[in-house]
Amino acid sequence: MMAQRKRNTILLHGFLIAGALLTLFPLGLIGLMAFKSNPEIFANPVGLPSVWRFNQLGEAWVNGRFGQYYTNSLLVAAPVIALVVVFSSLAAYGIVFAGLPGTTAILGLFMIGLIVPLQAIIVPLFHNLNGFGLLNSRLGLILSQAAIGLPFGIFLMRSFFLGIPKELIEAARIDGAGDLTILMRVIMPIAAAPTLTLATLQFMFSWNDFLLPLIIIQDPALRTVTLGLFYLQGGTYTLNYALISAGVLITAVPIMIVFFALQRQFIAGVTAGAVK
Amino acid sequence: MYGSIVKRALFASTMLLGLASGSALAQDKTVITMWDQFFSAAPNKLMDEFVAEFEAAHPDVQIKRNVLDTDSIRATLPSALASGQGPDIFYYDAGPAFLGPLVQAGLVADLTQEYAARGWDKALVTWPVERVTYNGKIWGVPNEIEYTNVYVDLAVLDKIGMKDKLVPAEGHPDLLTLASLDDFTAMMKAAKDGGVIPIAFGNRDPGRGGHLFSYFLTLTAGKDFVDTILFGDGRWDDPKVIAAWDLYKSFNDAGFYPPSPNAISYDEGNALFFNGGAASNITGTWLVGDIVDQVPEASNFDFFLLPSASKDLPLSAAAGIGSTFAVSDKSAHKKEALDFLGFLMSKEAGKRWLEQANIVPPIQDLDTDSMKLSPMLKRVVAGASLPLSYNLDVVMPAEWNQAMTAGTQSLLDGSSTSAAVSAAMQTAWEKAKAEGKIWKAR
Amino acid sequence: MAIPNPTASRSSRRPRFTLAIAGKYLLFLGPAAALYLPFVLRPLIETFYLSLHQWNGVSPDWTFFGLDNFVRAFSDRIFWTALFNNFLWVVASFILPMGFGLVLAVMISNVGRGQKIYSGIFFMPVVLNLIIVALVWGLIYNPLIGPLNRFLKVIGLGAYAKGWLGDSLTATPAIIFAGNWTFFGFCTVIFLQGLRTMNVEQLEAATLDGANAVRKFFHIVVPSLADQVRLIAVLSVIGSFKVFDIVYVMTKGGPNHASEVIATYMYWQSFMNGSLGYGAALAVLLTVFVASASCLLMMSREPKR
Repeated sequence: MMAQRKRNTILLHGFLIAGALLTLFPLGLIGLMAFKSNPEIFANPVGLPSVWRFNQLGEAWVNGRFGQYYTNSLLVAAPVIALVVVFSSLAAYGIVFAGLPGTTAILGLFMIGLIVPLQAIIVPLFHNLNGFGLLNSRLGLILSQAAIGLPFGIFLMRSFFLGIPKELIEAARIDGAGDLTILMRVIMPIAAAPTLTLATLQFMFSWNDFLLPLIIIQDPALRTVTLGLFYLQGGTYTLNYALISAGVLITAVPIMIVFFALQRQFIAGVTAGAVK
Repeated sequence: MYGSIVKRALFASTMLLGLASGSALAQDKTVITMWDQFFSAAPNKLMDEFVAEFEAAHPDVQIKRNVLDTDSIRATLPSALASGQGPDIFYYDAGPAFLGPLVQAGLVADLTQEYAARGWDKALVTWPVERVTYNGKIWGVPNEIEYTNVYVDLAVLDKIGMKDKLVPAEGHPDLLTLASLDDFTAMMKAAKDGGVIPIAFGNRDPGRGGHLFSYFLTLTAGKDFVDTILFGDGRWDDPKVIAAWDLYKSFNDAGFYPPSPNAISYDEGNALFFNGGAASNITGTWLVGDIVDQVPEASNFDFFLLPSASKDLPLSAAAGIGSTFAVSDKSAHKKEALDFLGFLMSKEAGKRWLEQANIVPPIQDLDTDSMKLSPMLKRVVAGASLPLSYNLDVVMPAEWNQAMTAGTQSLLDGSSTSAAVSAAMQTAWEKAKAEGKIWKAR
Repeated sequence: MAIPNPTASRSSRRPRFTLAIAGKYLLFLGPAAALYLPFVLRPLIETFYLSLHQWNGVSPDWTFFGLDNFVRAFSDRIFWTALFNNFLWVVASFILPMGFGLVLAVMISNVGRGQKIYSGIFFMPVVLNLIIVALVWGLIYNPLIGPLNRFLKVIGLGAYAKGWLGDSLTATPAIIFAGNWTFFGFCTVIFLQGLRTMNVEQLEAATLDGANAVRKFFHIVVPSLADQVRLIAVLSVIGSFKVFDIVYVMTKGGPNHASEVIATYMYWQSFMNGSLGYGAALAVLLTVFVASASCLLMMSREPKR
């Protein structure tokens, strides 16, 4: 019995390791290509490089402009996270605690945004941004991404606020605290978990967003990492597989490191965001 | 109401951001915006130099460039122009499918008078100007003559013993060609037998196969025949058109293209070729600049022109101007914009287009002999004086282009026939003709 | 529209509308509304309005078109191809990740050590950018340098080697497979969570009764995961209708529109073909599909809360 269980466990590990290797194979392949020369890639895409060309990573960073793209992505993601977290918390407080009439209808209006696909608003959004003079600007991208992130932010914060005992709010009110004080001193300190989840999700949405940058950003100097990756496969007349692979590697690895470091938050965030 | 408040708030915040970023524009300067597509290194650098020099000569004018790739500019320029947010100058694909709708919507400045007043009608080569002429009026300033050609990897040709097939063209010692189209077939067959992909053709991106078709139609039917369709009663379902499609398809059937060209992007096809993976690459002279600047061991590569199918037809190729400069009709600074375009098309500028960017400008009487040109560019210059035909996608309406693009892909995976594709092109042509969407230079 | 857990009782003490209340609206809901209204709600209304018109994106006037854009969709061969492909996505991303996910989850939950590492590895593609996924798999399928064709040749199936993304028959399945590479790990984790809360006593009782592994799996494990199955099913439907990035990057809907989905076709009509009215009609249809699926999701979650 014991022996059989042990054999089963080993068998299971075997299957799982094989599965894990298959899952990682595509990335490993790219990882190898990043260090090979183009003729080598053409000759044998799977083999090990004859010489490890580490300088290709630096080349992608500088000539492939990934340094610039990283900066752009961060300059967009950071304000988006801030806007969504602050505005969602305010709105959720207004809906749950401020004692305002008609909040059910307002909530309903915001929840429309939760079920509408981004593609359904993209064309008029593009023309409106153009009218506002916000096309081809980081600000246009930031405001659009934040606006699209708000419905889920409000949904998430509201669900959390509903679980806060009302006595806590009443007590603070009796002590003479105003609404803003209550939100900042009483509620936000205990809302760290949903705030972190929301921030993680918004970061992933902003960082991975492709469609909005694709239509909003035309200036190559303003490209985000995602957009920069996309344009790697075109735009110049001589496609460079080594450069593409290096670009993929230097954009995938940081995300993977962050993921394995914050695995629990990521998984919690993504499963919470599943409604989106 | 609400919208206007938001607009004002957004406007205020953008203004603030603008001020914060410290872009202290001197108020008395005229600012001209230009959207262009010179993203390759050398032309990009040259355009920056042109701008700096023009600004130095005109201290009251500032030119702001926005460099876009082709897909981006196609997606955004029309609405930017329509909303009045667009640039003063834009560099955009010519032809009824691209510039045409903008002209019809009244967004492009009519330059007919300017051509006469500024002497451009005499300074520029006629046929490129015709490509930006609709209904007798001129709407743009072309900057480049380009045409289809066949690049070859000389090392591969040597290996398969076909290098000797390349011969100087009759009357054009600077141009290479072959004795006959059969020689090309023999060459491709030798490459295939030698284990090399004969033609590095990638047809994933719509329109790339159209260059081949335009070229093959020039070879099998000739420019005069195409003229009968464009300007007369000729038809796209003519047997000569079908023959051009048959030629396009026969290369696929013979295994001259890579496996599944529809899965290979244009850039991938080029990469295959430049990495020694193919004997030839049928594309256009626009690639010369990138070869000279970016390809290691560029001397391994050369190009030639395919001979025509019949002795009655002259040596030719499918030609176009690619994109053209044009001026927005809503621009408040048309004069300054046109001054800049005039500067770009001066003879001095022409020399630098050639020497620094490997671009052949449509400027009359350039003394190319005295210039320092790469050997490959010398060939391009020599070919520019041939009786060139049409690169069809930039002279045809959008519907027709779609029919042709669908044809280039469906012939390769066997889901259509040459006759059916030709018939679809004729249908699209008649529809566009009836709707007044076709190019009428004359 | 179903909103989970509506706050019905809260507005019972109805305060009068005063300046203070207006101020509160402005303070708490104003910021969100200032972004949401112009950047989400207004474009949404405009999409519906535009879908009733013909507009080329350039000309100053919109021509009223009634429902003709919708009629056009139903007689448009490419629209049906796109819709069919969306359904392929639905079916495939229901079966493939569900199957892999369930099997992997059961394996992981029985393996003892290393659960976190395994689930982390399988989940990892979920956090990757879809552009990365598209580029990586584009290289795998590449007819010139792709390892897939080389592998087929090595195992003697060279006759099946082809340009997977350039063939109208194989393009969509190839993209779907790549897309689901980023989804099965998600399913694995969801199922793992379900398995952790499963009734252990029932399983042990079955083991004592001498039930074999397969029996236990189908009679005890699968039924107790009904919630997870429902969640994944609805997510597959929503995700499959919204899919855009990976298709756009891998094939742009080609060859010859064979791998088009509604979202990419809408993008092409709106931004590349100058048919913005028709594009808006496609967007409206897409919204209807996605919104129905989303409502299903919300309703399926309702009883749990």
